[in-house]
Order: sequence, then C-alpha cells, then structure tokens
Amino acid sequence: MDVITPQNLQEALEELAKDPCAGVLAGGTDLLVKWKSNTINPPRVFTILGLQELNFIREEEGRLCIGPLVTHQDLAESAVVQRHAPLLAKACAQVGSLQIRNRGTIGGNLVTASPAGDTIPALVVLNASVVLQSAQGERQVPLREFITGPGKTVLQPGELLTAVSFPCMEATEVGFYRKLGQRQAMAISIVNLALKATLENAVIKDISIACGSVGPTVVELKRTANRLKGHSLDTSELRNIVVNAGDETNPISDIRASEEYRRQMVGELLYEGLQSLRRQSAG
Amino acid sequence: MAVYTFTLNGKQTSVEVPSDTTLLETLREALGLTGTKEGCGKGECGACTVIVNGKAANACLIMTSQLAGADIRTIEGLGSDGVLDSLQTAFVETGAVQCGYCTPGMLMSARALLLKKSSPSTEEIRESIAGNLCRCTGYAKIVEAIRKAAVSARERGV
Ligand SMILES: Cc1cc2nc3c(=O)[nH]c(=O)nc-3n(C[C@H](O)[C@H](O)[C@H](O)COP(=O)(O)OP(=O)(O)OC[C@H]3O[C@@H](n4cnc5c(N)ncnc54)[C@H](O)[C@@H]3O)c2cc1C
Ligand code: FES
Ligand code: FES
Repeated sequence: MDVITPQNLQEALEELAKDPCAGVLAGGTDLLVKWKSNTINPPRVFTILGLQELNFIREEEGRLCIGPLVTHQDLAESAVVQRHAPLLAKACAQVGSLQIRNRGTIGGNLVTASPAGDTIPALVVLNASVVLQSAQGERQVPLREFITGPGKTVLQPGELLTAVSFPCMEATEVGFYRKLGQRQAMAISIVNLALKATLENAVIKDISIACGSVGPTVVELKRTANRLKGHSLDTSELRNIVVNAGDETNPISDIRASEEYRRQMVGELLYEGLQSLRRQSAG
Repeated sequence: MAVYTFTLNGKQTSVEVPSDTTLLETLREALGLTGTKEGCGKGECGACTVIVNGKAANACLIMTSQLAGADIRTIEGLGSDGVLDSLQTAFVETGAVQCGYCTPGMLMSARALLLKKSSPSTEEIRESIAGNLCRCTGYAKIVEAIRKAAVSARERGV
C-alpha cells in the first residue's frame, strides 16, 4: 500500500479523480486496523490528515460546521460544541480510549458507518448534513440519507467528506447521549441512544430519538417519539410509554449482548434520558 | 522508500522507510528504539503508546508518512543520562511494575496527562490510562504511582 500525501484539498481531489481505486486515510483508527487484518488492501491511499483546511469548528448563521478531521477528543473538549451541541461532545467523549480519541476523526466515524458508531445517533437527532466534495463540485446530503447500511454510504469514488453541519441547539432544546458497553472505556456499544427535545414548562413539544447497535444502521424511534409528544416529563405515564420502545428496533444477538437484552435496554436508556431532560429543564 | 523527518525525543530525526510503515515499526526496527512495545497491533492495548504533538497516541495505528514535522516522544525520551523521570521513580517505588510489558505505554500515557494537567484527579488519572491494559498489577498501584509523581512534581515546583 502506497501512502501518498497531497499538499492541499484541491490536489487531493484532483489526485482522487485520477485514481478512483485509491483509499483515503484520516486518523487511521478504522482503516489501518482493517488493512492489518487484510480485510482491505488498497494499492494506494491518500492521507488527508495534514490538510488544515479540513480541520475546523465554526459557527455560521446559526449552524455549527465541523471539518471532517476534527478528532473526537477535540470535539469533546470544544467549548463551542459543549455550548451548542452538548450531546455530541458527550458522544465523542465516549469513543474508545484517549489514544483513539486523539487520532480518530468525526469524518472517519461517519464514513466507516458502523452500526455502533458513537457520533452517528447524536448527529442524526441534531439533524446533521454532510458535504461531499469531488473535483467536479460538491453536494450536501442529510446524514439520514448518507448512511445506507453497515459500512455503506452514498460516498462515491473520488469524493471526500469535507464538512458536517447542523443547527445549533436552541435555548428551549435539551439533549442526552448515553452509551452502554461492557465496560466504560474501550468498549463497542451494546446500545447507544441520543435524544433531543424541545420543552415548554417541562412538556415535550418535540422530540427525536436515535439508537445505535440495534439495527444495520441507526434506528429512529418515531412511534415512541410521537407518543411522548405533549406529555410532561413529570408524569408517571412515561414509564408505560418507554417500556415498549425497543419494539421499534431490530437488534441481533452477538457476543456482546442478546437481542432481548438490547431491546429492553433501549427502553431503559430512553427512560434514563427523559429523567436527565427533566433535571436539565429544572435548571 | 522515502525519507521522513520529524523531531524524536527532542532531536531532529530522518528515516528512510516504505510509506506504509507504522510508527511502531519505524521506532523498533528502523531506529532500534525497542522500549515501545507491540501488544495487539490494533489500538486496543496501549503497549505502543507514544506522545505525538503533546498527545498520547497508539504508534501501531499511525503511518510514519503521516508524521512529517511532528514532535514525537517515546519512553527512551523520559529521564536523561541514566537519571529516571519522576514518573519512572514513582512506578519503581510504588511497585507499579510487575512483568513490565505495559509499563512504557503506561508511562507515556501518564506523561501526556501530566503535560496537560499538573494536578489530575484520580478520575482523570484512571481515564488517561483507560486505553492501556495491564495483565499483572490490577491498576491500583499504577494509579497511585501517577498520583505520587504528580504530587512530587508539584512539591518541587516543576
Ligand atoms: C481500539 C478502538 C476502539 C474504538 N472505539 C470506538 C468507539 O467506542 N466508538 C466509535 O464510534 N468508534 C470506535 N472506534 C472506531 C474509530 O476509532 C472511529 O470510527 C474513528 O472516528 C475513525 O476515524 P479515523 O479518522 O481514524 O478514520 P480512518 O481509519 O482514517 O478512516 C475510516 C474510513 O473513513 C474513510 N474516510 C475518513 N475520512 C474521510 C473523509 N474526510 N472523506 C472520505 N472518506 C473518509 C476512510 O477512507 C476509511 O474508509 C474504535 C477503534 C479502535 C481501533
Ligand atoms: S500494540 Fe498498539 S494498541 Fe496494542
Ligand atoms: S506489569 Fe505486566 S502487563 Fe502490566
């Protein structure tokens, strides 16, 4: 495998256009693991890690725009992200170990499209879109449409993911992210769950719920979200609503957990999330 | 083969290696610095931890070709002229070493933490070595040693 270092984004896009079989290397925490185990063996990869134009966090017209090379640790520690999307900072803080968070990037996490990827449910409830750029031009794709299956995205050969963006959370919005793994650090999630809700005097006006590791891609609990709307976070009804939330998911049994356990944990994490929203709304 | 230049333990260093050589291979094989260990080779054990631009990283998952101009510190750069670094002293005195295989990685994770925070909490110490596996000590002595090193560095005002 030849590792080639383009000097700037333009050069990277031109080289990729000429050589569509080439791979793209960012932090390497997914790609190099697969390469070492012979799961993939591209003849050439372009390392984009040094392209400073892809490493930014900007607030633009009410949206937070994040470059694909921003690492999980930088996102977790960013004051701007903590202010405008605390649930994303939380999700990033739960990735792997410090060593992995120092190298692994948000772009790599999205393109890897693992069903367990930690940033994905968080970015889905934040209504994120991604910018895909090639030598021919760029297109914007909602994250919900970007990932089409485990490890599958609509990214075309020759394209780079060059930004992720989403509306900054409003004062009336609160969020939650929780990952359940076999241990706190370094564990792939058994279930993860992200929540974002609009509240008015502790009444849920709107809510989005997304879960990872319970289907081939992130699963949004739309039916449960609809049932929760209009309810106060203080009502005892919440228990009855969340108890069947797992029915909307389609988990499998694997070495980490059984299907039944995962389904049940979806309801538990959701309940925990609603309690957290209640505490946040109480100030 | 290509030549890559970076700063290694404070010295400008150039190596000629194939572009798909990991930093771990470069250190151990091209430069003969075998203090950095290989455990899993895939980011899970932390035995290969080094400090890249001030941050702990797994040398097994970095390509040397991604490091042009970087500042890299390895276990060989801790201490000088046979005098141990305060963390090394604390590990020895506390009994935080048994077989020693995880120790270079543990020390580099701990050094990266202390570079950033001179008075870390126990929680922060534990978090900083969460990516370093030790099959011998049970971690308690390691956490204690890092805490001791932080305190002694503060007392000496360094
Ligand atoms: C020990 C260990 C623990 C981990 N724990 C977690 C965890 O808890 N949660 C989690 O979600 N993930 C985890 N991961 C997976 C991984 O660290 C993350 O997915 C990380 O975000 C990948 O980013 P990267 O920059 O390292 O990607 P790379 O490995 O460099 O790239 C991954 C893929 O994305 C493509 N790519 C990267 N950037 C771009 C771009 N800008 N445009 C187009 N294509 C691109 C690459 O071609 C490649 O196919 C773990 C990995 C390891 C080794
Ligand atoms: S050898 Fe690098 S993390 Fe295990
Ligand atoms: S001392 Fe043996 S692995 Fe840590």
